[in-house]
Amino acid sequence: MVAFLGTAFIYRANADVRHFETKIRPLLVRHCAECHDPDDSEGGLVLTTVEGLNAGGRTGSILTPGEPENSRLIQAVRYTTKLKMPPDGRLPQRVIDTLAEWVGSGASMPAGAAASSERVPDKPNRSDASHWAFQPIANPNPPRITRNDWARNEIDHFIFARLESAGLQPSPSAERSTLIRRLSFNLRGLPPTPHEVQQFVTDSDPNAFFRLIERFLASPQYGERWGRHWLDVARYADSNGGGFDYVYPNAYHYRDYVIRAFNDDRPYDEFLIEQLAGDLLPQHSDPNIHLERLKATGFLTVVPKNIGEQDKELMTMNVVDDEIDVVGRSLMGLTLACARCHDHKFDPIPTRDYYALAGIFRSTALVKDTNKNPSYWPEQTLDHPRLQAEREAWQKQYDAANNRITEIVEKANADLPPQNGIPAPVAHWSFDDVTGKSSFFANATDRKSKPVFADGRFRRSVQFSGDRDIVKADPAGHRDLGFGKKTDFSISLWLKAARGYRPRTADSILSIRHESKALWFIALRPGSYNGVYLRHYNGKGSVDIKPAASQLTKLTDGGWHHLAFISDRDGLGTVFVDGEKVGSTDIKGASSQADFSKPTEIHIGASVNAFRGNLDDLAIWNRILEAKDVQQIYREGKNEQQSVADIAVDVEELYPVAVKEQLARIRAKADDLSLRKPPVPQVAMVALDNKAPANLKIHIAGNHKHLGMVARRGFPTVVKGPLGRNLTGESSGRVELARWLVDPKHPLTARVIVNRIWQHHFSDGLVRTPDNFGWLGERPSHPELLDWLAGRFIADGWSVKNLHRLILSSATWQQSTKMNPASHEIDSGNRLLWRMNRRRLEAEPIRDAVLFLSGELDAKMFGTFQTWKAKVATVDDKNKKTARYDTSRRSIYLPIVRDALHPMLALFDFGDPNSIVPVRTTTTGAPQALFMMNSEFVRGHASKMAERLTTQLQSSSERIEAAYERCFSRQPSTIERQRAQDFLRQAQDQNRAWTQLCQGLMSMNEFIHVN
Amino acid sequence: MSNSFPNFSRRRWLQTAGCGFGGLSFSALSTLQCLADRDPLAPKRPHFNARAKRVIFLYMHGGASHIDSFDHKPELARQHGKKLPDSINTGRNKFNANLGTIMKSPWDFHPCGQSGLPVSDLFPNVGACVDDLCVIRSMYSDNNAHVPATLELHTGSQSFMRPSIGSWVTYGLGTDNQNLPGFITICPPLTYGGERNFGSAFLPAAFHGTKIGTNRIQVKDANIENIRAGLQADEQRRLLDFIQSGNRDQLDATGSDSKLEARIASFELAFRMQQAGPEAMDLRGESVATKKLYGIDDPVTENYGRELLLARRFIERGVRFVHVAHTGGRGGRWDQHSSLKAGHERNARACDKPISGLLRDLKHRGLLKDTLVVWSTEFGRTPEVQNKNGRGHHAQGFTFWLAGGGVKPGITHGKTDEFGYHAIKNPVSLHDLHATILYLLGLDHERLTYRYSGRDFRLTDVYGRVIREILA
Repeated sequence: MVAFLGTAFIYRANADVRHFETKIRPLLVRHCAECHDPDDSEGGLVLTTVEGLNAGGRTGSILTPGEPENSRLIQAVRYTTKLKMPPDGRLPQRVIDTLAEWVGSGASMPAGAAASSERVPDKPNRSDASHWAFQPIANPNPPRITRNDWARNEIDHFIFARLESAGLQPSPSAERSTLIRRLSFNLRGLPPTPHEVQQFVTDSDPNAFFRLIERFLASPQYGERWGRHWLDVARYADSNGGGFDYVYPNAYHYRDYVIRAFNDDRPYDEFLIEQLAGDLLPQHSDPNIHLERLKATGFLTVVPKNIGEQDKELMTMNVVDDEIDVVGRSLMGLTLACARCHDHKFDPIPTRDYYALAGIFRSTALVKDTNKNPSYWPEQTLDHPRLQAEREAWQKQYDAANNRITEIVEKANADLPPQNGIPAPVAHWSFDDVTGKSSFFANATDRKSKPVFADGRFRRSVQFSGDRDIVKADPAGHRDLGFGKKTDFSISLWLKAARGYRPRTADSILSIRHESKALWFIALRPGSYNGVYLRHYNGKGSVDIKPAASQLTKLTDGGWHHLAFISDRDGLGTVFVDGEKVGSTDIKGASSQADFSKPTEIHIGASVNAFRGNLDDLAIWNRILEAKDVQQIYREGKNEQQSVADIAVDVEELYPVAVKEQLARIRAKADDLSLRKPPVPQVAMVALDNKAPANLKIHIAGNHKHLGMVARRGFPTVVKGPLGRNLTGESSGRVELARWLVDPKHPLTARVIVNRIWQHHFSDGLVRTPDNFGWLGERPSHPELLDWLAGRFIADGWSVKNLHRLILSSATWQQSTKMNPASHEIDSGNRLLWRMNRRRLEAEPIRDAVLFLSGELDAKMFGTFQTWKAKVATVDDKNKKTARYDTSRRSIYLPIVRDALHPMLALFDFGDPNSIVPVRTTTTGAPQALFMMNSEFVRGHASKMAERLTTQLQSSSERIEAAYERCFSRQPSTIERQRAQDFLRQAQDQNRAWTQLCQGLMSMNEFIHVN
Repeated sequence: MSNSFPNFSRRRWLQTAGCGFGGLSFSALSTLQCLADRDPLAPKRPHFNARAKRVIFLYMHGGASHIDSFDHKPELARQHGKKLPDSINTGRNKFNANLGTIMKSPWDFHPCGQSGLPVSDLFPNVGACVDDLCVIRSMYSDNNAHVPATLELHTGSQSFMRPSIGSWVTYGLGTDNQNLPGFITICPPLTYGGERNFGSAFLPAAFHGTKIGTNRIQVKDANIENIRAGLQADEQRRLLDFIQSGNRDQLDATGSDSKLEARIASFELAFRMQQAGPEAMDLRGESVATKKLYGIDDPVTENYGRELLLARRFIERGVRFVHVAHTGGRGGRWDQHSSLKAGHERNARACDKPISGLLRDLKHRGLLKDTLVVWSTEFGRTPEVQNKNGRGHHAQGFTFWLAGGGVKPGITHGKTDEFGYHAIKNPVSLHDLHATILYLLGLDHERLTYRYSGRDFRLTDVYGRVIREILA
């Protein structure tokens, strides 16, 4: 697919030749090569070379320039004569038109040398593997240099030697305050704190900088910074892309794996093996290691795909192509995917090699349900036999404890004489005050808010205004509050509807929740329910229960009413209103599935569709109340002003002391067990081999309907070093591919990653085309250094952190960014590194630094805060985006939506996550400036930063100093102090002025650049 | 500005900065770095003389029917209720093996204008402008599902992430008013590929379409993101001066740096954009007659009328490419699988008057001669009935029209068969259309390339033919 279009370099032929090469020849190759190329010239006709076209076939000439009607080629493709080509179907009209037009305008073709082959001039011989990148990694000695006072390690020898031969001198070291800021952004993606700066600047230990490197490398933020660099080349995203943009609700497992791998300094060779073939490695006895390997294969599964594509084989091959592109450009620095339709135009990569690799990925299940529309992708539960065994053992213990409790209680009850009064509830809220076992807060999001209490049925009650208020009660501490399979339970409460209140839909009174699911949801509902409405989550879905109609008018008449709901283990649900049974319903089907050990939350009221009025005397039992019990509660409440608490008899109080102690002990054990419940295994996108891995046939011109010879699965033949193992038929070959890539003799893998790491430290790689080490890529600026680093990296056990240590402790990296006009005249692009490059921060560190300054940065690591479920589109039918961005966590935890990227990420050149991003470009434009000046994000955080300054510090000079230190990691100059004072003085409102000052500093070049 | 290096020629420096080192000029980096250092939106010379300077791209979201609007097929009325003949199932017809029952158009067609081109009663006002239109009745595309078809219309590719045509155009030509974005999309839908349809993909972010609202809101409530100044003008000027003085200090201390200088300039530009943007979007200065022309006085046509008047105001101020989807508002898009009559009528009523208003207004102001207006949709609709009174998706033959900017007015190009099924004469692919739009803007679609991931990309991939027959 490489085209030579209009670019100023390389291709110098005239427009006609270009037309032939870019339009005509590709068409002929695509549509005719199978039967008419030099290897297979049916009818003696070759249509892919100029000689062939000029010579015609056995029956004579095929072209009459200027006369398409009289050219046999055109007659054949038009199907106007007996000869109809191609025989299996007429070409698309536009192809025919293009060919006819070309003949009509003279059928121009290249002449002379260029004519004899399909290739264009100035191009290496395709079989030429002498290109630098294919040579073994050399083992050069660092050159001897004249200025050993400057050099700190071998890197500096290589750099200095080149500088000197170009007549350049290195720059002096940057100031310490600059260095720590540079180092902090490089390794952590965050600014240093003023305290850290102060400490480092005044540290006289000669090893101060090494210690700083170690500290930053050991910080968890390191993995968040460098993991993101890797995610760029892994084209990580939380959605599918491809037009039909479904979310990947669990892609984050892969992202988290990458962060951990960097923090743990996973050797790069292992890192690649895990990502390419983690699922195929023998199961490790340590579940953590096993699960990490499964998650690692997200590298393959987060591939963008067009799951709505109707041609499913094409869809699958596009996915395969993307994997090859990632293996090629990200891991090997080769544009392997260019060989999909024809041999690579510049590098010695024949199409056969492409399909040898394609066979490996085509043998891997990267999409599933390919007979359906839309298709899907493979997911797998993250489990391990040891985890299963742990869960089973736990369940056994837990069940035993609970059975024992039931046994003891039942026996003790039987031993007691019959009691008057009703049994004691397991949970009870009198709503008389806010103290007690429950944590009460009136609003689901604001934990400081207090519920409203008003006169109640007994003493006080809780009151709801209907304005999204809610009382959350923490069930912890309430004994035996189980709502499991086949459990009995009863609920009793008093309610009074507000004057004029009528439920609009199902207005929640109470919901008993387990994680995000409402196990039981009790509401008032109009319409056909016309009374109490229940909804139950049964473990799979929600079941509506309609126990009693015609009660709504009564329940909303503005007076106090008693409501009870009894559910027995045999599946009968009964509702009582004011002591009278008003209906019962079979809920057997509903509760059969659910088995939750304990509710995690009880909501009284609800955040939406809320009941308006008062609730009082809410009680829950883990047993059945008899009708007489309900009648007693109602009667005594109405006539005697006695609440459940007043009339309940806790029979357990009457047990013998020994039994009480025994119960308490077992209950403590059960409580302890429930705290240590092993987590439910999560689901992740995990790669999987197909049942029958197979070789592919070459797809002629990239068309899967047009097949050529079989290409045995294998690896690009241009790479000579590592031994290519024969791939057996039993697995896809991913393990072998990964091992081949990390063979120390592989000439590309180490060079490519070393170059990437160099790039992130210096803004440019030694090769500035980090994804293309081939002929069209750039030659390395320091080839010996690149090889030396690669060799050292391998010898060092592929340790990325060691490579950081080496680079960061070089004098080269510690140079100042200061401009030197004389050096600039010689090397304007700073290829030879006579100074450090100044860099604009990427989108993520800009966002993170702003959050850091405002004090809002949430350091929580890992996981997701999305509430996405599977098979949700990122933009729904109502044209609404479904991703949530309301977080103060670091930017690496923002969801990456392929078709609708986070606006700030997009604005600051995040790149396109539909493909690998080898280099972040930096554009500068008014929309970015508008963002700094007017966005709610910057203004809001500037205001919070100002608030911190003004509350933490007294005098304006202290505050100004702190503001500069926080933003720029340095003290303000006298002029800057003065200017800031003037700025504040001119303002009317000091609060606004401080906010603006902070915003101003955040907007300055110095803030978003690293010197 | 730095004056620390009096002997250092800034011009020389700008010439060399970022454009590669020594013999490496062929590398992919040169383009990127030059773009990053210079203002990517500065006006650029086209490859050859342009016939149009700017584009207003109208997109009927959902698939507007060709055979009920601009492609009159009397045969449908004659064979109403009969099955489509099997002879249709030939050639490119890979989509539809089961031919359905013919449904005549619920609208009458009348010859319009001097040219006498027939237009249906769906578009009486646009019909009255038909002498300015170049109606292409032989569009075809490769896919009759919404998402891929919409992506192909906007980016030239149905399955891969590619830059939008508006991004390509601003990449090729820059823009004439630096105080406004170069490529604007007014209230676009976010479905059918969403932002990809106006995204810059691998082109630098500066060429991404600037979105004003989405179709979930009325255009009068929409704005350019972050354009509304959070501060009063004098306050903001003071803040800006504070920022810039800090920036200049730094520049003085570190020495010349084109990236830092570019960022200083970008803040000044943003400051001006805050005035230019709202000014451009403020319709109060427009006369009653103009508003009436666009149908802003009528609630049915008000929203789209405002969008198109806004489009005119943008192009008048130098914006290069304005994309205005018509998504059908509350009633739904142009996707009438049933109730064709009610749905298409409601949609057409909301946009017919505004579109004709735009054409008349542009003509009146002398803007039509170098502004290209494109009326597009992702595909047409089947001649066969679906769900009693609707029509299905149809990509084998459908209609676009162009107006202004160097196209022949009052003509038709190409034709479909007697049922409006296949484009049988002078078929025009979306690549051909893209090539033609670029050509009218003075750009050679084969030379407008961008190097990315080891190859040169084009809007038209390896296809595309300029439709010379329709050039004025």
